Amino acid sequence: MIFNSIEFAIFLPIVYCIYWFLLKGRTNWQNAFIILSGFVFYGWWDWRFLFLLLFTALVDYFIGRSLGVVESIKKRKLLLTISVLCNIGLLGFFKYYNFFVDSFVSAFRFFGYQPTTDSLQLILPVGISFYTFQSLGYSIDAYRRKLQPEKNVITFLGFVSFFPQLLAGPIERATNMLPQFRKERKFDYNQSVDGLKQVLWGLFKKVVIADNCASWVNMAFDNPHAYNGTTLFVAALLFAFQIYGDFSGYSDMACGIARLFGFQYMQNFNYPYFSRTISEFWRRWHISLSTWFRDYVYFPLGGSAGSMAKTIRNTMIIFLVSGFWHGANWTYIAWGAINGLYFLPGLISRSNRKYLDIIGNSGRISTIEWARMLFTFFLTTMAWIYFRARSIQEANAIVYEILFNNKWQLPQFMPTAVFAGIAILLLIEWMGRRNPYPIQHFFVNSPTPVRWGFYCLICLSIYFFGGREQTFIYFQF
Amino acid sequence: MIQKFLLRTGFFLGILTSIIVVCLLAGTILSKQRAHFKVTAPHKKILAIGNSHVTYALNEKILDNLLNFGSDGEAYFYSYTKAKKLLEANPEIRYLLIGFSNNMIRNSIQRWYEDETFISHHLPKYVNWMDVEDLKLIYSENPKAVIMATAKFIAFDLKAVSTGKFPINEWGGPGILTNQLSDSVVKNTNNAMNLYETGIHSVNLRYLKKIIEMAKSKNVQPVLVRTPVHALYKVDNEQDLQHVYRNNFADLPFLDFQHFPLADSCFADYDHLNKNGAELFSRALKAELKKIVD
Repeated sequence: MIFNSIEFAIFLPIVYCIYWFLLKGRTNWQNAFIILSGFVFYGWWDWRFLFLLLFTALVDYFIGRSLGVVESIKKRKLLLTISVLCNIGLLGFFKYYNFFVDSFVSAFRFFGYQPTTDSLQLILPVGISFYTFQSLGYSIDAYRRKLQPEKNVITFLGFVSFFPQLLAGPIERATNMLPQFRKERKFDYNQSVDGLKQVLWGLFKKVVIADNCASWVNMAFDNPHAYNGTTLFVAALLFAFQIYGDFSGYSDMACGIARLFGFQYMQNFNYPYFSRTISEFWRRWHISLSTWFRDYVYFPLGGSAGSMAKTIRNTMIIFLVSGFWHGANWTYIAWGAINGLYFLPGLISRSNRKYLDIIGNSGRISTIEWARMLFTFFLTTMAWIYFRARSIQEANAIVYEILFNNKWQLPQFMPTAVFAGIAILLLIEWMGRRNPYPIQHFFVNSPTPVRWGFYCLICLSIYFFGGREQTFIYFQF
Repeated sequence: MIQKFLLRTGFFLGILTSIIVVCLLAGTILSKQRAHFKVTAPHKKILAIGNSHVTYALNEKILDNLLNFGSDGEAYFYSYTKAKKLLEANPEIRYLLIGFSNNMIRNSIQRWYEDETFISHHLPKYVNWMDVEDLKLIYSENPKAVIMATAKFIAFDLKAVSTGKFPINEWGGPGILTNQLSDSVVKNTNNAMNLYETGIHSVNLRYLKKIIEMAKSKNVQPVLVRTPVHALYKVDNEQDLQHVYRNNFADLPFLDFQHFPLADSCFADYDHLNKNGAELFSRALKAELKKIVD
């Protein structure tokens, strides 16, 4: 089930009403109902993979409980190893098995051998990268004694299977979510209104921006040789907004829906395209994944505590792993590597923590800041080409065509209506960039008809200008 | 507080729904008032309908007494409404040329009804003039897609205000393909395989019959035509087509050009003619039509 579907529009109010009317004040029952609704939501796609979700969650639950009582360091390490092996093993098998087999075969063929191997016809369980990481994060935190392991299996299963974040994040932390699952939830009118507004904004980004960009992007990236450099650049720009609208739209919807049920998620996107450096971009893009890798991989590797060479090594590892996390394809690894290389100048010059605040938050924006913002966006857009292209060869060809063989002819397509939508998106995001989502405080002090008129306008633009229903890009990860 | 929240949300959704319903009704009324189906070409005696085979194969300059209203990916279900309205408004039309190709009767045509893309593309063009029975049918096939297409209904109706040829300017017409079937594609015979589901599609056949009955009731002579396809275009339901013709339409003329000899350079792909092919075929068709048209 996806958020932008009629099925979900029916599912959500039913779950909401049962949750608040029938189960109000009964936290454990509400959590049990969250599990049930999560299973329906996930099983709508393919019920067989519910067992995988259940297995991952139960393994980490029991390991967490054991970590709560076992004191021996050796045994604790063993327990953590089991959790890592189970989670990463499942992820590796379902997501990367064929990739490794094919890569080994290619490598052997390069040296003249002809190995016989079997690729499996595996279906990638949707959202597996998200829920395994969330569950694994809990085990690591329990191992590090950062949290009190959860004893109530219902509470823990609720945390793993809560449907808003189940398929595409945010990859929530147990330290943030478990306390919320334990305490009694009280209905908060303002929080619910806020949640609905965030859902609305997320839906706008997904349906009006991302879905409308998708058809043009697909056209160009499915047959890049048919287009000139200018057109490919237009397609790359559109993809930059497609992936942003798609993924941040999903995150906004997830955060908004969670709020409707009385939960507070972390902010997953913080206006990344207004970043002035690549390091700032990575503090604002897919924050839950970046911080996951930072806390559970980068810091254990030594972080930036050692020599500069080690810091560079650790940084590159993080970017490569992050790229690989996205998919079993060399294009994602290349995308990670490119972003890692982008990141290095700031790291070496120790200026990577220069812009911690959103642009224009403290005073006038200088010309240099504008230029940096545009340049950062350009770099990001060029890197997205590797993310979207079907192969590295095709990505290289597209980049070559755009940068080195571009005669800047007229583009073969120019979807002006889509760009108008993007301009509106950017304008609204710019105006509301100091808030967790841009329309949070729009017209809050205006009379109801004005405020509702604004919301109606967004709803109608979704209705009239929404692209064809498309699944979310990040479901495949 | 939760009651207040639900009431206000419900009230907001009610306002929103009302706006949409008002737009939908206003659009329907407006488009029905503005619509006209009269073709300003009294010398045209033949109306041609069908899918893209018809669109790209019939050259109106050569077939000067013919109106080409073929439309890409259009099933007989939609063509029925189109033919009905055009024949009603243009009594000078005496012949109805209906594209009758193998893919139009096979079961795989089902996606031309139920697929969301096809519904959102075709339904808005015809919805205001469809019979209730037809609307019920399409709704039962894919209610979700029909609901999703309502936005397109309104957008389409808004065109009623801005154009003088509404809605027939959206109902199809001749098209020109300029590309040629390349040698490499011709050699790759796998591309020519027709791998769709076989069997006769009952709904499309029913609507073909409805079109023919409707034409006869208006004293219009129906004529079936099959446009040329490339020799490598594998047709695996020929028996079905012949069976359908013999059992249902044996009394109608069937101008079968499936094997009309044309060079590779006359095809845009295996089953569509390009500009050159359309010219050659249209001349041949004109000669055949002369035998039928008085």
